[in-house]
Order: sequence, then structure tokens, then C-alpha cells
Amino acid sequence: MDDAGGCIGAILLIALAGLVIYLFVMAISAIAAVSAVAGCAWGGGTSVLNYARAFKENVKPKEM
Amino acid sequence: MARVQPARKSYYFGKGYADLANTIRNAWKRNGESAFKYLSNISSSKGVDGVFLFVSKLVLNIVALLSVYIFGSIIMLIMTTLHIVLLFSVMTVIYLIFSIIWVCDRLFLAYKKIFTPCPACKSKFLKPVYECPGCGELHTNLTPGSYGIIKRTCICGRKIPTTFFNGRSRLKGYCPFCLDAGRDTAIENQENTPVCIPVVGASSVGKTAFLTGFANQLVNVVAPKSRWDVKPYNDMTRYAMEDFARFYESGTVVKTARSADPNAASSLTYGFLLQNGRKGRRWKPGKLLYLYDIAGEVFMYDDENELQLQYGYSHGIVLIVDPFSIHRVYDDNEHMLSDIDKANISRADTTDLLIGFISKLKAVAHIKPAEKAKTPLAVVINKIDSADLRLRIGDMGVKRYRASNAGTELDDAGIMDLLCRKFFTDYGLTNFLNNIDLNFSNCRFFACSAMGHEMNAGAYEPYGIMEPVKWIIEQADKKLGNAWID
Repeated sequence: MDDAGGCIGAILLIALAGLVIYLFVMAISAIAAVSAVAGCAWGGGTSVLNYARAFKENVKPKEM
Repeated sequence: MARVQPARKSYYFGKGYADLANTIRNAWKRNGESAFKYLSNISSSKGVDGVFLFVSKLVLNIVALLSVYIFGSIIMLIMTTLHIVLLFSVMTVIYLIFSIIWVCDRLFLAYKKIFTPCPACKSKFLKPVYECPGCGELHTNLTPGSYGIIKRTCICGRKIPTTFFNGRSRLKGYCPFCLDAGRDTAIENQENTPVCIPVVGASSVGKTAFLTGFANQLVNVVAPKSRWDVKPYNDMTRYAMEDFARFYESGTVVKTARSADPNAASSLTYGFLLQNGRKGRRWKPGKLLYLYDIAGEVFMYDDENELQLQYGYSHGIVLIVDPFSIHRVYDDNEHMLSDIDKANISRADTTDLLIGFISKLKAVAHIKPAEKAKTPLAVVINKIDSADLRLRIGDMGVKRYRASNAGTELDDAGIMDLLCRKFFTDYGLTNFLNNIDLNFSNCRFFACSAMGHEMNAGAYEPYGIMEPVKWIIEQADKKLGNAWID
């Protein structure tokens, strides 16, 4: 009986650890996904802003 | 002639493309700076932030770094394409507009037969070099173009007109050829329709007297009758007109002096601006009658200071002949000539002079030796007041011929032409006549007396001097010829 109880405890422990790892990976993935979307928007927006600023700074038809 | 102008080029023909290149360069520089900032964010987070925060910052910055390059490239491609399309579209529109206006400008000049003859070097050109009234910069090619369609902005900032219809001709102009030679010959009253007539002949044949008589008759007789406004083209003509008026009143003439200065012109140019004074009949543009008085010595010694380029574009040539320079004419009429007449006879051989002149004309006008010149040639026998020449070949001779040949179909000019030709034949100048007929396809003979009497015998009383010039003008400019009343 004791052997059986010890085995169940080990399985539960392993399951708990797996759950924690799963939740951790999920959390990391979620954070990474959100960060990726945010990074995409940030980088894209920055590139648009960079072009707009460069355009504003360099294209001056009236200053010849 | 330099094509780069001291003016600001249209944005769409120059700076627009430089701006585009600078924009691309600058945008990539900024993208690089942004990428560097993202990398810095990762470095500063490593070992400082917790796992979750570090992961989020790592992913955020790496994706942002990639995005800034990927989106940057896409945006660059789209925006650059749009930018180029816009620049090309505007450039094409401007190009089309200025091409149309340029063609109109050229067509106007061609239709109105406008060109500019330099009074000093005698070169012919379409437009002078124009001076900016603001800073004095010279614009060698003031036409609609990439520097401006109807106006251009000089480097000093002043806007100057580029076409005939918005005041280009009011700008100060210079002869481009004289400028190249280091002289600044002002071209005044540009963009009129010129009629250029060189008056040629040996020394003492009476060229200056002819011009004196013509100028005074033009101003005092033809202009009032025709209702023209006549103005001297430049100061030189104005002063000459004053001299001519004095000579005319006093019955004298001062022989055209040839300057010893090798840089001085061998011929003098007199310009008369003509405008029809009749309401509603004004000429647009006005007419500019150029008469060239070439010092006789240059024909006799062939040592002129400058090439008489006007032969190449002149509308007609008046060749003046002193009949008493022909030995047989002199011998036959010596008893009827006064001492003053005898003292003023040209010593040049008429045929030799003609041959020299034809050779010069063909060289300047690039006419092949066997070809005939198409320029109308008026051969004018001057001094017919002396002896009995007026009765033989002048207006009185014409009347006499008509009286004895009632059925003739010739008009007065035709009869005079016939009488003058016969005169040369009778005095053995067949060679002279042959040379003219072989080298000129359009020639007519006239007889005149520029002074009307011998020198110092009172005011000029010229006759027959307007007809040769009128005959040339009628062929060169029908409007001017038709409006001529004498």
C-alpha cells in the first residue's frame, strides 16, 4: 500500500510540475506573442515616422 | 554658348530628385538609429529585469528591429515610387507647357521674321544675351525652359520674363558674339522685324550722300505721307541723323572715315525704327530698317576690319556706281563737269570692284561660285545731275523713252532698268553687266542723284534715291512695302 501511495504522490508531483511548466510556457508564449505584435506595430510605426520625418526635413520645393 | 543659366532651375527638373535621394538616405539613417535603440533596450534589460519582463522586452525589441527594416523597406518602396511618379508627372506637365510656349515663341519669331543683327560685328542671332535688371547677370538663353516657363528667377531672386509676350524684349541685351570677343555691344530695341540693306560701292561714289538723302527723305517725306513714326535705333543713329540733317541743309557731305583702330568696325550701321501710326494698323512688332555704310576703301583694298556678315542675311543690296569713274563716260562728258564734280569722282574701276564684291558676298553668304545670289541687287547709277545723264537714264530719260515708245508695256522702273543697262553696254561695260546677270538672280538698275546738284550748291534736292530701297523693301517685307507712300 505504501509503495502504491508513494507512486501516486510522485505522479501527482510530476503532473503538478508539468502543469507549472505548461502554464509558464503558455505565459511566456502569450507574453512573446503580445510583445511580437507590439514590436511589429512599434517597428512599423517607427519606420513610417522615420520616412515622414526624413521627407519633411528634405523635401522643400520652396527653398531653392 | 553656355547652357547653364544664372537662374534657379525648376524644382521638378533638378532639386526634386536630390530631395528624393536625401529623403531615402535620411530615412534609412533614422531606421538604423531606431534599430540601434532596440538593441540597446535588449542589452539594458539583460540581467536587470525579471524573466517575463526580459522575454517581453527581448521579443518586443527584436520584432520591432526586424519590422523597422521590413516595413521601412516596403514603405520606402511605395513612397519612393509615389514620389517619383509625382515628380515625373509634374515635370512632364511643365515640360509640355514650356515646350508649347517655346514652340510658340520660336514660331512667332520665325513668322514675324524676327532676328537680331549686331550693329558692330554684323553677326546674326535669334536672341541677344539678356541682362538681369536686378544684378546684371547675363542670361544667354532666355527662353521658356527648365528654369521657368514664362518667367525665370535669376540667382539674385529677381523674376525676369522669358517670352516675347511678357516683356523679354524690354530687357537690356548684348550681342553674344561681341561678348565672346570681349566687347559689350548693346542690342537695343530687340525683337523687331529687321530689313537689312548694305549700301556698297567704291570710295567717292556717293554712298554717304545717298544715305544722307535717304535718311532725310525717309523722315521728312515718306514717314509723314505714310503716317509712320520713325525713330533712330540707337544713339549712334541719332547723332548720325543730326549730321545728315546738317549735311542735307548745307548741301555737303563728309566722307565716311575709316578708323585707324583695327578693332573699329569698317562699316557704320544706321537703324531706323518704323511703326505704322495709323490707328488699328500698328505693326506688331515694329520694323527695323538697317542701312550699312561701308567705307569705300575696304572694297578697293580688301582689308576690312571685320567680315561684312550682313551680306549673308541682308534683304537686298544697294550697289552704287559713279558713272564718271568709267573712263569713256568721263571722256565724253568732261566738258560738262564742274571742277567740284571732277574732284569728287571715284577712281575705282567699276568692274574690278564688282568682281571683288561678288567674291566677298559669295564667301560670306556661302554661295557656290557657279550659283547665283538670290539677294535682290539694286545697281544705282548716282550723280545723274551731272552732264546730261538725267535726260539719258534718269526720270527725264524715262519720260523721253515713253514719249518715243508709246506702245511699251514696261513701267517706269522697267524703262529705267533698260536705259541703265543700255548705258553700260554703250560705254563698253558688257563685262560688268554679264557679271551681274551671272551672279544675281534678282537685279534691277536705277539712276539717281543723291544730292540733286553739285556739292555746296544749297540744300539737297535728291531724286531717284528712294526707289532702290523701296524696291528691296517691297520684296523683303510686303506689309512695309505696301504701306510706303512717297
